[in-house]
Amino acid sequence: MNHYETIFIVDPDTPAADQEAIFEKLKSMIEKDGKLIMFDDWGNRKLAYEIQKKRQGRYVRLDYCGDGVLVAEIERTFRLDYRILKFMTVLLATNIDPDAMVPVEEEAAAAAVAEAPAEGQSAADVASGDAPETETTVTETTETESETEE
Amino acid sequence: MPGPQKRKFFHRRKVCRFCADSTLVINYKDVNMLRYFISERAKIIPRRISGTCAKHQRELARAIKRSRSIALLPYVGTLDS
Repeated sequence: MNHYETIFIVDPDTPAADQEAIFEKLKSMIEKDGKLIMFDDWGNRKLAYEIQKKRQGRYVRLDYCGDGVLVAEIERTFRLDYRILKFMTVLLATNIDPDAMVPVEEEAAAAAVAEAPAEGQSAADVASGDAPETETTVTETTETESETEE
Repeated sequence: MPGPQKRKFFHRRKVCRFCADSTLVINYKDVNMLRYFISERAKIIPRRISGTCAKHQRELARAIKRSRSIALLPYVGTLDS
């Protein structure tokens, strides 16, 4: 199995219910033949250029494991659906074990745990940052001296 | 440059940002970082100007092109801005 990432842009003018239907269909497709790791909704964003006369689009990122067949199937549904403005699939890794991939919720919890010691480090940096501050004041005084000489 | 040659300009040796800071990752989704490497006309800034090393310039070009493909970055920039 490979690890893929697909970003697609949905027409923001489609009703919310229809959008949800598209998402549910995709999720079920991925769950059938692979494993969905993350469903990442970026919300409405301004497009860098117009697509089908639209200036905005709803970006959604799918992070999943699967085979090339699954990607082909997903992209086929994108092409058939006129509400999908654009899509792009990127291959992230080949021959990976889908069971080893951690689903989103667990990843978020792990990130929260990792953040706690990082905060302690930043506090230490602030404490050690006092010395350079005094140095800067010294340089300021020398500058004023040179001004008086002029 | 061999021999004593008069240097007209002083060239500051530019350092590749991505080599200097290994925590920086080139990712096509990081639009704000990529914007630094494109001109007002949305052209990719050449290596000799940005100072990026060959390896990272290749990665950068790939990321910018991917980003353009999914409308995160423009293919053609605006005239005025």
